[in-house]
Amino acid sequence: MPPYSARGEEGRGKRHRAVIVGVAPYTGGRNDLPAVRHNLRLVAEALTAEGTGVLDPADLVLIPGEGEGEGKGKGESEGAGKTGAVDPLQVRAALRAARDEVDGLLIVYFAGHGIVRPDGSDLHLLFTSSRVTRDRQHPFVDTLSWRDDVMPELSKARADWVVAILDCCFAGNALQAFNPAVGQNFALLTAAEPGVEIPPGDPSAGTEFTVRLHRLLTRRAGAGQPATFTRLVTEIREAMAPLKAVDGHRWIPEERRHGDDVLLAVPGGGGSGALPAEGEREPRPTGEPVGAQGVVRRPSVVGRRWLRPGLLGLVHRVRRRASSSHQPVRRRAPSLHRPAPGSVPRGPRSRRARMTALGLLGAVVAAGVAVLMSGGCRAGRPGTARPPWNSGC
Amino acid sequence: MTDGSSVGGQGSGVAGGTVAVRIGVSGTHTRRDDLEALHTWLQSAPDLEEVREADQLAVGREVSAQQTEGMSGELIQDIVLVVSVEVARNVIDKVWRSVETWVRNRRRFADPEETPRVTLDGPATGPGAGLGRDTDRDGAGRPGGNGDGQPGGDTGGRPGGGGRTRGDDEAGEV
Repeated sequence: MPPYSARGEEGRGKRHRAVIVGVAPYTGGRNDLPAVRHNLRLVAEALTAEGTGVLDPADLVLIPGEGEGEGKGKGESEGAGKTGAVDPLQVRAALRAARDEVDGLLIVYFAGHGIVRPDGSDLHLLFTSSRVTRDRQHPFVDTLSWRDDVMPELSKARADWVVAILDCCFAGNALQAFNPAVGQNFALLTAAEPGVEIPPGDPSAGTEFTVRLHRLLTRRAGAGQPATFTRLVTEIREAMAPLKAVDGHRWIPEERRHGDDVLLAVPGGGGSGALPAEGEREPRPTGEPVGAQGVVRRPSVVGRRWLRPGLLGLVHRVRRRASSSHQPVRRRAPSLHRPAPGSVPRGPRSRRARMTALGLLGAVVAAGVAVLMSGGCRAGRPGTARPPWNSGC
Repeated sequence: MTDGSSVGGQGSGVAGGTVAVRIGVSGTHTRRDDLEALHTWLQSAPDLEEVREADQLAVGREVSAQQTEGMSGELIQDIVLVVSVEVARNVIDKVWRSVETWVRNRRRFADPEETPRVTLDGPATGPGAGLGRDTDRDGAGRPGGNGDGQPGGDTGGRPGGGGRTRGDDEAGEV
């Protein structure tokens, strides 16, 4: 069964969203996490990267928003007035809106501090003004409980797929409260195993986990390597294997999945076909705000080709061949889009190739009409996660 | 080995020669709850789970060695680990890593009067001698500590395994 793709037929016309939360400044005695500011950019970039991204910049909800994350942390005003401060109510409202509004792919990412009760239960996500008090029953103030706040919201989401990614201490303890609704497609990726704390990352680059996640999502060189959730888990475990978490714990990202599989990056065009080696530094674009392109991008040609199976895909391929053969004749306006990394520019085609393509197109259209007339293909039901070809085509 | 059961010596479910070590919690107002919490924490530690499944480790609780007949009040318990001799040091290292993390997290909930402390006592002689640990003595579990006996602090951690954490690096707040 093909993985769900927001860029594919099943995601077309649907509302997709990524709620990306990064808490860098903290009040009280808690450490600021400057690396998290980079995480916001890295995740946004990975999900919308030209050629490989599964979302458009307009699909992103960044918390804090652009321009709010540049605070210096300690030494500035405390609490809500702190630049880049994140309030749990703000996050909860964003989750609630996403729960109700998104009917395609919903991605929720959190980076910041995390804490659990002494028995390891009840992971709490900490925000700028969060506190831990002496109240033994209710010690957490201004936090969000994964078990009681976040998971219940997400389990009611209307989205075809929900993907949650946690990059915080004790992220793996969220696995204890992984309770999707019956039949819900839900995947959870945690930066580490239960009971493990992780270091705060490189203040100039991002956290270890998210830097590698970004690398794996954006460098999908070669057409044969779509970043499905399951493949990503394997790859990020390999990428993290050389590292040790705090206290010398092994560092193994964990996952839970309910449903088949979901695509988090489409394969980019060209390249060597190999993923970047461990230790290879991620080139960071500087000074470019997230989503600055301001244009709605289309997935790369290679990616779209991979997403179209069967007859429909063949029709599109033939159409593309035909249309590309017209390029030397039909002047196109200069594109605002950057070319996909490693993509091969289209060159002139011969008249013979054009005629061959048109001939093929005619044959395939005729075959398609015959199939449709025979009633052999059912369209997918609106609102279902299953693409049409899974419904018996 | 289930919660509260005896794990001492033979018949513990651990194959071959074994060594038993005791883990005690002190310095808190809720010693019993804390011991139970640490027991749960160790039971659910993924790397220890693998050792348990290989029958190289059993985790249980027993009356504390510190408990005497003259003591009144609630029963004091210890966590008792029974480990195969061949893998004892390796397994105890894994256990202690989890203990360090637990103590640091517990200190975030501590009253100002509380100083959570965990000790691990092995046999004085024979196999397993020298396995003893103490979070106070060994520097583990201190806020920002890195488990290597080095002071942690809030800055300067090493990427990919440094001493800083992303839990909550302060003792309990009021």
